[in-house]
Amino acid sequence: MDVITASNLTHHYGTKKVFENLNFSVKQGKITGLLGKNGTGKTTLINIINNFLIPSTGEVALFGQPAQALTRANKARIGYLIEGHIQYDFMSIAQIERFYSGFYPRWNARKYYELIDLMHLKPSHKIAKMSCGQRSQVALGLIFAQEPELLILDDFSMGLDPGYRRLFIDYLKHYVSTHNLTVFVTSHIVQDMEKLINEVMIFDDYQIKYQEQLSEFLNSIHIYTAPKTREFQRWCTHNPQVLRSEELANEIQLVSRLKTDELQQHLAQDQIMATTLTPQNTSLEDAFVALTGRY
Amino acid sequence: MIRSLLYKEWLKVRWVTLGGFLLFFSLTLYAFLTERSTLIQQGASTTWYRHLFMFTTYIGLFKLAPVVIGVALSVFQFLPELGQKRLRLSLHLPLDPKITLLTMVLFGEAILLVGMVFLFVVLTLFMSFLMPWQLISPAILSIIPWGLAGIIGYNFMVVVLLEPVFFQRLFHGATGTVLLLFCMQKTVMEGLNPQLWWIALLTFSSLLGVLYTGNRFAKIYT
Repeated sequence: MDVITASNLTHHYGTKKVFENLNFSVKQGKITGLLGKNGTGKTTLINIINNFLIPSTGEVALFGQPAQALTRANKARIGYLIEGHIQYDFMSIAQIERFYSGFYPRWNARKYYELIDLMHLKPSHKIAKMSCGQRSQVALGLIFAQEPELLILDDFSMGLDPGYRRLFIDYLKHYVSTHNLTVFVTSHIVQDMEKLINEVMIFDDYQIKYQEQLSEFLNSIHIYTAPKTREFQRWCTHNPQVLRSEELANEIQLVSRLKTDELQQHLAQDQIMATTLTPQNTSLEDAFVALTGRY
Repeated sequence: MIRSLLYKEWLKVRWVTLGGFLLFFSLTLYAFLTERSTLIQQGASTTWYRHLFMFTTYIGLFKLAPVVIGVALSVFQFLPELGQKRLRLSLHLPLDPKITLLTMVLFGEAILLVGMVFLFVVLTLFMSFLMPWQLISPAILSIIPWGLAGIIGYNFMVVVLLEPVFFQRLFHGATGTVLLLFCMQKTVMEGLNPQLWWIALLTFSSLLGVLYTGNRFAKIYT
């Protein structure tokens, strides 16, 4: 079952195109990570999914219902984390729990306090006086207590130190694995995403260029470097097997779906001799940077 | 759900509300003490004659207070929501965003109305020690336009805070200022009573203005 479906989604800010004709779906139980460089429209897409923003054309549906006409019951099934773990900082730990509990029929205060108790803070402690890491625990606790079926996390690692990032991911992973949740997540820290997601979606050139199972994606994307020659450079630009190439100091880096021997075969066919391809280790971050470029 | 929303609004404005009530109480006490000393120095007949036939008033102190409280209330209520686009949290709640905004605004207006009723009760209680009801009731009638100006000030400040387009924000600010000046042009007993219905109409229109801007804000603020 599709939890999120986007059909022919296009958005412009004035004359500036953000994305065009996006079509994708997020299946139930998947943890989908949306990757894209700054300004590619990740937050815009999240705002459209949350119905904070009306798209120029196209439609997003959540649980089979248009985002703009979502019933209260379906809205209550969605947990949302704003980038920077923003919450009502004029409230205290206890006040914010009391506030949210009135909105969600499946509210489970115990789950909230399980996380909060780890910080050894009084219920009267104001959120404004917390560090970003502590605020992230409050935000996560509130989402857990809500018992949502779909989680939308906008840049969850923003502002967190490595310890809190790890804590956040560990708790989230455990919760997701025990609750059959669907998660749609963005983050600038791709290593964190790699620990969390099982499906990857990459935004580039106003489009979703890749949407695949993470394991399949990492197995099928190969990064190579080779000495820089004019002939090889030209071959990289024109060969359809090369997804993207980039000039480094003395070498060329290229990304391809083909394994070393297959690519060498193509080089031989095209009579590009004396080119030694050196395969590189491919993490999600490496693949993402290689596919979307450094600039 | 609405109760939870009201709880959040109350947490934001409780101190400024308390401050507003204290301000009303202090001004009433000051007016009472001033009026009492005038009565002792000049005698009841002179004082009452001036109030009845020369339209002098002891309520000039109350002219600005409702507007100041109204503007402060809207700032305390909406500024915490706008910082870091926190209003997204409220709009994400399982409630119609229009109902969310309307509840927030009506809550602020209700506080101002309760504040005005409080002022009228305290003023009547204090002044009934010094003068007959015939001199108190015109004072209360004279304060009503200023109380409504407090609600207009509140509504326009909300519009200015929520308005996503800068030039429209300036326009709303200027319009609100002109309307407030109109509501506070006279400081004599019942000076604005002929315009009272117009001011009431303006107050209601300013609420519609908030709903219009709030609706646009919910659509395009991101």
